[in-house]
Amino acid sequence: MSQYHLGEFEEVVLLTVGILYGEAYGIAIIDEMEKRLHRRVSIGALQTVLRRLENKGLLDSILGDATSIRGGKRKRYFSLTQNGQRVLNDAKDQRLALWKAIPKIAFK
Amino acid sequence: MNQPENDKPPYKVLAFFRWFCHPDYREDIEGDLLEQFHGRVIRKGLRKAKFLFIKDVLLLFRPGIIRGMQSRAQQKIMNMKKVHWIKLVALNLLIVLMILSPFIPGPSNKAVKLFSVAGQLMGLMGLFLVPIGLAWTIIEIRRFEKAVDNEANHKFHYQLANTAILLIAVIFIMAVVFVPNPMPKSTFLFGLILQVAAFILARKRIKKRENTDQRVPDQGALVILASSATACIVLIYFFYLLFVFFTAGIIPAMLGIVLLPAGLFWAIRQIGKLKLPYERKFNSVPLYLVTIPLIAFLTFKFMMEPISNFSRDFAIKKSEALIASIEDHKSRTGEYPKSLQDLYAYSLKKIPKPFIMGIGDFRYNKINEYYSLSFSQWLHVGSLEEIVLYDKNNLKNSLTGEFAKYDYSFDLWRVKGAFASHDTKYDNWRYYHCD
Repeated sequence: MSQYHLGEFEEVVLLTVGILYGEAYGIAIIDEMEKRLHRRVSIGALQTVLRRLENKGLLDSILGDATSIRGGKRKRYFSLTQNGQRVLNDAKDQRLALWKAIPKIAFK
Repeated sequence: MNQPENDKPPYKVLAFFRWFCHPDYREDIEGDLLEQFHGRVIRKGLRKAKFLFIKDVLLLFRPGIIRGMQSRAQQKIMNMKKVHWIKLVALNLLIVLMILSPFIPGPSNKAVKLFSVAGQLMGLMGLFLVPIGLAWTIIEIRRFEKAVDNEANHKFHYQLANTAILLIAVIFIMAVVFVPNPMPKSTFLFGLILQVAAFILARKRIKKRENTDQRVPDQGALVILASSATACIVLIYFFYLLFVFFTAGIIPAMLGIVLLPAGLFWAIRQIGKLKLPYERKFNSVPLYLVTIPLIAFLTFKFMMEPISNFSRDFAIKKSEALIASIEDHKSRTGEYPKSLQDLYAYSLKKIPKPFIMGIGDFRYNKINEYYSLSFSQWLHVGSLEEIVLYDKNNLKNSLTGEFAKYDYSFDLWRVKGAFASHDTKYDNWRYYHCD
């Protein structure tokens, strides 16, 4: 089991990067998160987490194409590393284990 | 798609972003900002898009994005838990409360003067610790992940120690130039000479690196600079202790003797522990050295006057019932009461009090056919008392001899004897400071 404990927002960012596979850059990640989770995400909050996850080795990034709407600036595409996948799997297993441990009577 | 001529984000905000953003991230984040801006122009209009652009840039101004505050600083600051920040804020608020406690509504309590003295002394004398705290904070933020005792770290510590010494020297130079009295002027001058001598000696302790022409400072240089700074601070501290002793009184001076050497000794011991190996936790102690003296000093400098005005006006308001009762006594019996106890018989079940923690009871004084009502409040270190006086005839009754013709209303400064009195917001109430 990995030692890095994901925060809730970090986990959502990693999952969204996985969903967008190959197309995960700043604005696309924000749009996907806002569409699926119905919550506002600021560029500042997202970029801080993306950098932190990249420094931790959970994400990789490469610079892609530039467009005129971006003022000629290139996009930075993020992808999950093996470590990132492992951490996500661990988080999923932990949550599933907790869900399974809830007795049925608790939801009546 | 062709963009309209004025379909651009606020240029100055964009320039601000380009200034603070780390160069490695600038291109892609700026691209994201622009893409989002143009999308919002279409969906929400130009004005809203500009507003949200400004908001996004401001929200980007944080550790992790700002250049020069990466990894180590971010990690160190984020290792400071909420409880550390809460403690820091709580302690600073406590200091402010201590300083302002004599002026807060509440039952009279003589202890609040001691609290206020302690708080004000922290501000006045603790300012010398601020440069040390700043230098120490920077060291804590930039502590390297290798063992502390390496050449680059050593050079950095030497530069920071120099910076702290220079800051203290600037303060000393200003004091030598602007302080009028010869005694403190010469003390600061002596301290300045000590620092210059230490600086020259420290420069001599620069040694040559082995097999190269590069020169680096050795441990001795740091020791000399640190010792001289400490000696200067102790020198100035003892001088101000004498000043406090002769002006504010023995109790504040005794507090200074006990509290400040203990604080100084402890702070220097903590700095000495910097030679220990790399520590992952961020040490928040230097933040206390920076914030507490600054907050205490700013409170002393800017809040004492407004809060003492408030407490004076509050106490005066509290006296209205008492004055009404005194006048009532006169109208019933034909003369003013000899003392406030006489009021118990007719009108008052309880003598009103000022209800300010640093102010005692009202003092009543019958003068011939008239009377005066007064109270006193202590202001700050360096002053004795403020006397607040109610007199319907504005001191005329207490004037005799050549002063009997004195017309108070023509004297703008309300000078009586050696004191100048000041008007309050209330009729017949004035105050003056005893020095």
